[in-house]
Amino acid sequence: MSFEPRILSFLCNWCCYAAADSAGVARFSYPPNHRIIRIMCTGRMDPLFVTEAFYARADGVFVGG
Amino acid sequence: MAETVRRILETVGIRTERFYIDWASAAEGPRFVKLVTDFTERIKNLGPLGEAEGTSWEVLKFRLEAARKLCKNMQFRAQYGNLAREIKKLGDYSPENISQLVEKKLLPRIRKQVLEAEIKELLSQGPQALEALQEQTGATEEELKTILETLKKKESK
Repeated sequence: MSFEPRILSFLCNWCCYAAADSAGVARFSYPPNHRIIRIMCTGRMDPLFVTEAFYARADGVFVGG
Repeated sequence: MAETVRRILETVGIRTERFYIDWASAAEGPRFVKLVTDFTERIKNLGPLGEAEGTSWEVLKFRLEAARKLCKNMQFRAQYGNLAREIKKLGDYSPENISQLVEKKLLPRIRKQVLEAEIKELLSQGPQALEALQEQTGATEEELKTILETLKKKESK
């Protein structure tokens, strides 16, 4: 069985989250490994979120602004 | 934020490639798909957390715990906020400038916290030679000295 990474994504409500939405509407396919958390602005990101994510054994953290 | 996170990951011993920040506007669905696909591919190549690093999860977990405490620490958060204000005042947002300032102002504190936790743990398992501690944690001699001194002070309290 191949390795499926667990990736945590923090997406900004106004940019990447909407982009992900429009990608879905346009039926583009993208990998299902991402667990998405919506934040209201990329400015809300905090180093604590990332350390917490790795502490919870995420293999990668993606921030989309 | 990104630079601070990278420094923390470096200290903990996690490859900085595992953290990625990029921009796509609401209208850029295809670009978002590309970013996500590329990032997933890169993580796949790196393997599970700890594999590319060559560090066991137990060690990483321990260091991450220290990093977590650090991020919650009010003193550190104040330092972090002050640095952001300083950068704003300077008006120089170039990656080099930010990287330099973070290295100067935040890195010593990050290293101290994470190394201190690790050394404390190692010492609780029994006496250790200085060289062994240095090799295991990657601390410089000077850092080791100050950390041992603070630990001693805490103990005598």
